[in-house]
Amino acid sequence: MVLSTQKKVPYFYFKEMILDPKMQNDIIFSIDYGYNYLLREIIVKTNSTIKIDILRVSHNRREEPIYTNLFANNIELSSFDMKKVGTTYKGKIQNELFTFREPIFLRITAKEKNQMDYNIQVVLKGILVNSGVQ
Amino acid sequence: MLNVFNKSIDSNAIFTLQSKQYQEKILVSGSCKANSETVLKTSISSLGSFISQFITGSFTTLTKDENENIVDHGYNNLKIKLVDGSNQRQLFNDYIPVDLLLSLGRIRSELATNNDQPTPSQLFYPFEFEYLFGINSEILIYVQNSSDVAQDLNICFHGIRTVGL
Repeated sequence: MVLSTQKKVPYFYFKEMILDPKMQNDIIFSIDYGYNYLLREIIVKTNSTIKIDILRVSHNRREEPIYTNLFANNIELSSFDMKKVGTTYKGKIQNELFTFREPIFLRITAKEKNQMDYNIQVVLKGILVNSGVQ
Repeated sequence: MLNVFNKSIDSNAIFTLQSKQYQEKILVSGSCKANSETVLKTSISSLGSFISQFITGSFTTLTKDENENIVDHGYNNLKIKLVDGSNQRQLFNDYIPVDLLLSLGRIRSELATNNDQPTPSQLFYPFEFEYLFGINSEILIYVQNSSDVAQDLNICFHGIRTVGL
């Protein structure tokens, strides 16, 4: 049994941003030095009806962006209803390990370029793993 | 179910084990005043350590209308941050809106005066949260409420109590 020295602890990241749909937007989650992060689930909430793609541009860069709702738990709401409560679904399990040397990088692009700015809230659910580096 | 008959069930061994470790649910419950912050906490107690496995929770979504009546409009105003009280380890990087975390989620409130309350959420899935809270430690939940009305919050930790550790 380990207590305060637990090597693996659940850790959730949260970021809320206003994004410009005409541009490519990036959200970066940096990981504390000496830790790795096992990403389990992604929860996304946006106030717009437009579709967004999230691309992880890390060590396993994908060639094409993937629709959010294909790999993340997506609560999509109509405009101006950002705070309205949806149903929290269980997201698809990601099981992807990120090291502290390489932050988690989400690239978001809107499918329709003529939309107004939109809010997005992203929660990463995962496990922080002590890598043993001093 | 037929697999049960492939194994012999040793009741004594199970009782011995069950006396030392058994399923338990720990509730952290409270209210956060209007436009303020508070800390909800619960003690793990001196019985033993508690291994959390899943979390479920619910919250209210109240506000005031133009006539100062309390109404339920279905908009989330609560954000929380979870902290292990024994070493102040923060388990979230920031305050996270509860509607992104908790299932069942939104519940109705008796205080609401409007009849057109949105349908409450239903329990969909507890989210995974595997963490060991030590004996005599505390679970702390920092809560921020941006509404004009106090909000109730209930969070239940589902896990296993390990006696005497």
